[in-house]
Amino acid sequence: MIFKDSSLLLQCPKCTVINYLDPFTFWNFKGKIKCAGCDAIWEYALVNGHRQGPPAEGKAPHDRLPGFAQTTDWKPITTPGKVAPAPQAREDFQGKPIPIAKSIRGKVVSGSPLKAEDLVGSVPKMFYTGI
Amino acid sequence: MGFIHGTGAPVAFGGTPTRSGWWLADQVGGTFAAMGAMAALFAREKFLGKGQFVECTAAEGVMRIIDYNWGWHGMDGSVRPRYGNWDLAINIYAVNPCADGQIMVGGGHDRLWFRIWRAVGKDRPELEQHICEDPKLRVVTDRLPHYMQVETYTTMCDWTKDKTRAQCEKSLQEEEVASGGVSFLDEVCEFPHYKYRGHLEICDDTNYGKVLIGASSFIGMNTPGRIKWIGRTVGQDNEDVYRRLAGLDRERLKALRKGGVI
Amino acid sequence: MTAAVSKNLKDMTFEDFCRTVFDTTKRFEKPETLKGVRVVSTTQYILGPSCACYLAELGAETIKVELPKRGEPMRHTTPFNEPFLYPLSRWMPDKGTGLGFFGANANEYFLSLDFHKPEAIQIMKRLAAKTDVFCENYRAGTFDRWGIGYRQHAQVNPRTIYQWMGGFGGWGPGRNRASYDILGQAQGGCFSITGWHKEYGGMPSKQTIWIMDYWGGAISAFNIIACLYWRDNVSNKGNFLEYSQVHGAQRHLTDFISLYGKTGVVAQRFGNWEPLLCVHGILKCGKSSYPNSKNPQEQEVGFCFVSAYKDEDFVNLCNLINRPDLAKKYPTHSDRVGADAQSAIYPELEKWAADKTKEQAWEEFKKAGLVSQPVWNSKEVSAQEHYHLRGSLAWIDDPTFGDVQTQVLPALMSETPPRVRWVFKPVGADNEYVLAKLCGYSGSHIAELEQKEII
Ligand SMILES: CC(C)(COP(=O)(O)OP(=O)(O)OC[C@H]1O[C@@H](n2cnc3c(N)ncnc32)[C@H](O)[C@@H]1OP(=O)(O)O)[C@@H](O)C(=O)NCCC(=O)NCCS
Ligand SMILES: [Zn+2]
Repeated sequence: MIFKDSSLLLQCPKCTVINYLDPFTFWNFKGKIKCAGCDAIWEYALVNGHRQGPPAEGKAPHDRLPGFAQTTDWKPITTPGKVAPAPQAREDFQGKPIPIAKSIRGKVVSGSPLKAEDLVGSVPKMFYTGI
Repeated sequence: MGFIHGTGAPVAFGGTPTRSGWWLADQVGGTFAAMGAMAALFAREKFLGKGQFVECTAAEGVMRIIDYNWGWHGMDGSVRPRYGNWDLAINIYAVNPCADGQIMVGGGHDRLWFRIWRAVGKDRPELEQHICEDPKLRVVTDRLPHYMQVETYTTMCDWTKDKTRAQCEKSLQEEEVASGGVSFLDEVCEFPHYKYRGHLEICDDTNYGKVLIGASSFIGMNTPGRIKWIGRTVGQDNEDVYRRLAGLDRERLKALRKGGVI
Repeated sequence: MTAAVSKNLKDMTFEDFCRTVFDTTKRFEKPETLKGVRVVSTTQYILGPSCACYLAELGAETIKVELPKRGEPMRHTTPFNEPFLYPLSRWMPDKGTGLGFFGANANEYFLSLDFHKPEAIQIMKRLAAKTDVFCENYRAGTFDRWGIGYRQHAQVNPRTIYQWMGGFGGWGPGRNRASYDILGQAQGGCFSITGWHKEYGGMPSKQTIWIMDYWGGAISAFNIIACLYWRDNVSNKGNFLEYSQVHGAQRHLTDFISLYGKTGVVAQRFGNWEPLLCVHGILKCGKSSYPNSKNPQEQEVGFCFVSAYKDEDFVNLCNLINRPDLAKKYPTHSDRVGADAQSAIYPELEKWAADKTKEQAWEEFKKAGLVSQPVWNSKEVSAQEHYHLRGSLAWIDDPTFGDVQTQVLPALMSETPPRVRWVFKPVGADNEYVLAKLCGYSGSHIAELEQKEII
């Protein structure tokens, strides 16, 4: 247990998963949090980011989900229902570079990785040749 | 204009769209109008030889400066969400709570990222280690997805919660990291650096007496901006202007005044 | 414009006149305002780049200098790590530029230089001889240390206008502090007055956008143009200019600052209401305008701004929501504007709006003759034909990146309109062009510089 005494990083005493209690939601908080690793319910209170004691086991239902969670060897847990949802700009939001070939108007836009060959013959992509 | 929809905390954090606390759109629109007019003046003297009509609206002023909103929507249909005091496109670049208020910490590139965690690590080595060894956070752009930002800032706040704004600032500045507390207006007005540089000045106005104001922010070696008076009463300069520029005499001024024209 | 106003134009309605003289499809047929002005932009992030970008949109030939290969840090920022425009450079076609770079680098020529190398400093000096304006926003004094600050440029070219931009200024006890946009917001004072008050569960909030940068850039660009005018028409002298983000913020918070100066009162945040006017705020409408959309941004309930601070407007508003008693209780503006009154009035308005979408509320407000506007998201704004016709939003065919939607400098000008030719280019895209044209370097010399990683 690395974060036994931390406040905003609630490390589950049962499964050692680290539950991240983001400051927006949890800076001042009193209630039940569900561990993203083992679904254990923890009664927990924070005042100005300081915890008011170690987590005590409670009963379902929970009040809040952690903002994010991961194991001590950095395996992320982001399954819906385990952690709070992320704000999304689109329904199919991914959080990693997405290849885009067409703009929303359906015309060509250069939004995907290229190969060196793709640049050949393209003046703007390559360089100015009009010296 | 997409501005209010995007300001404030996201729904998941309990937030709603929020207006700016000051008249931002007017100020921005005014700045662009002034720029357009000044540029027209320049062109008139330089090559155009005539004036022109310049139009500017506050809404479009804000639309011009709203980052990548339009490009982003145009590429994949995204609608910019609110993201509270964090940033959609830069991590670390945010304001978060600390012991006596809120503290801003920023470090958009690698060099500063490691310096920030070094500052944190002086008090909480386990936090520094856990972040710096996280394979998900090695590359600058990999730190941008929401859950990575939650990890970053929650970890950082476990450190800031024990420190006041001044203490955070001190530790971070030892590492030359950009940081600073959220200042309330009294703190702004009393801040020694601003006073020394004259960001705020007392304007001894002929009409209104001594008024504390924000001084002109045009600092120039040869042409510094200056504020001479904060405003005049309605029609205070009628006499001067109409006589000097329009050549009106006493009689006609009187007539105009009587008719309610001026 | 006397001569230009033909009989035809004279007889038009004002609307037709505006439509004709501002016709955005004719932008490229007209000259550019800053034609013949050369700008070198050694800038990073947004503050400096946006300043140079406005000048470029107004027609200045703007050369952006950035670090070789990777480019400036903003190229590696993009919302939630999703959209990128490829290639980053001809050397890295599989990497892209993030959209953080978008909107602050249009129309520029891209040169890369590593200032740690003496040859790069030589190139900068050669450029200085032929350049009117320098924009820069590194730490105060960094360029002086590198030998390419104002004083060094002025020796080569006394007509140089040199604009330094940064957080806390080039002198004073706090001058060494690094700065960013939100630090300007935080320490300038505008952060503490934005957001919901404590009773409503809010905390100080940032303006979502990089306002202190984009707007600080605009203030600087204005100052630069003014100095160009002064140089060419009055004095024949260059200038050294400084812009501090926090100072810019403070300049524009005047009423709050004066309030503190006069009374010691520290203005606080007041959410979506307005401390000086009531009713003049944003209401939550209980219904989403797109209940069937799968996008969470659209499922959200709507918000609508309404203004009715004049007495007769307030009466209309109260009648509209079937609460004429409120109009009787708060007959004058001074009755309404206090915090307690506002806290009593707004919840009543929101009760009325609870079963409406923002469009429905807007309709009703319009019928009652009140100024109002629903809070639009970026999709809704993009869909407004109005802005595309006026040219403040434009779809352009970017030479490198293809079909992109972009914003354009919002000052509409009848004779010399601003325009966007390209949104930006890859790192070092114009190395050959700039070095050959302005420094007279040969192809093989440039290739050698590239090999030595100077460019
Ligand atoms: C933004 C800021 C905090 C970045 O700080 P920084 O990167 O630590 O330092 P500097 O500004 O002094 O820049 C110098 C560094 O830039 C790098 N650099 C960037 N472009 C370079 C180029 N073309 N050639 C060589 N070095 C370059 C170098 O690594 C150099 O550091 P070094 O000389 O120690 O090796 C700082 O520039 C600043 O406070 N600027 C003013 C405020 C501002 O404009 N902020 C941005 C608005 S959000
Ligand atoms: Zn568990």
